[in-house]
Amino acid sequence: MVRDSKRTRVDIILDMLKCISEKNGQIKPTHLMYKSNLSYAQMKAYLGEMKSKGLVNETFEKEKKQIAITKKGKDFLTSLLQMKEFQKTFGL
Amino acid sequence: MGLILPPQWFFAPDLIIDFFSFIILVAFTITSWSYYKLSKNKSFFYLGISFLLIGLGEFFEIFMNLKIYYDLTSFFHLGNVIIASRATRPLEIVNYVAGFFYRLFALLGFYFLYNNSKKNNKVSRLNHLIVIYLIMVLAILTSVAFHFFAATAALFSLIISFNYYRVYRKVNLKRSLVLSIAFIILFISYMLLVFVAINPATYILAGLLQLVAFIILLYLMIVIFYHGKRLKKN
Repeated sequence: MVRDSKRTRVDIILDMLKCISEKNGQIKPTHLMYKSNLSYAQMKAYLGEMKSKGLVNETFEKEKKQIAITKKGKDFLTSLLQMKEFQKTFGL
Repeated sequence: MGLILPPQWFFAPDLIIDFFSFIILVAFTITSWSYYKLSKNKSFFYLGISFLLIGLGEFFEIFMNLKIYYDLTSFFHLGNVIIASRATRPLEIVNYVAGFFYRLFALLGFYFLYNNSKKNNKVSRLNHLIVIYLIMVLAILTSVAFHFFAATAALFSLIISFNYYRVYRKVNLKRSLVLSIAFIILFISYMLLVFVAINPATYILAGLLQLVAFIILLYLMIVIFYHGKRLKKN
């Protein structure tokens, strides 16, 4: 998920939610980090914020940590995608 | 130029068209504002302000037309004696005040939208103040020369349409082209209003074109929401 210009905070959250959503709603933290082009520190900070807002939660599968998207996270992803479409249409 | 009035049978459709346009503008204002709150991107904020101002203009147009149409309908039903004592004075005052705000907010909205749609939207505050001042002067003077207001609104619509066409060329997104078409139709609608004194029938055609332009904007909003949902599913 590489873009030409610098990503905003919203762009990064959108990318992270998209990555989780594309992996059937849950993903390993390391995969999320690589797929959304983030450093470990960045991912930790963003995940902390997203967890506090109830967009994602941590689950354990065969004792391995997974990041899962919540219902609120799915709705938020829809809103962000619609916002991006709106932004592109108006060339903002 | 005095009052510009459509035939009596078009009073109600005219109000419905204006109300429909107002609702669409409110929807775009709320959407832009919610996206501004979500992203803190100032472009959304200014887009919301643009739609809000055009919407306020539309609100004052509805208010003005409601009063005029109501008074004139009473006149048509009650006869000449009533119009002389009851309807003429309020007609002038309401027409002047509401008409002024209609023209002022509509032109300010178009100016903001023009600024928002152009490639480099960095303009000094002084330039903005000068343009806002000129728009205020125009809004006052066009109470007696409506065609200048219509011509200015047409010019803004044309440039906005061109700017959105440029967006379409850049991102190759059909929705931007649809947006550009909506503003071209608005441009034609305002151009027809320039010639309303020559042929009042152009008022009806202008109203119908305004309706088409706003139906396209509604369609655009539905497509954007639908496409956003579809992207998530993919």
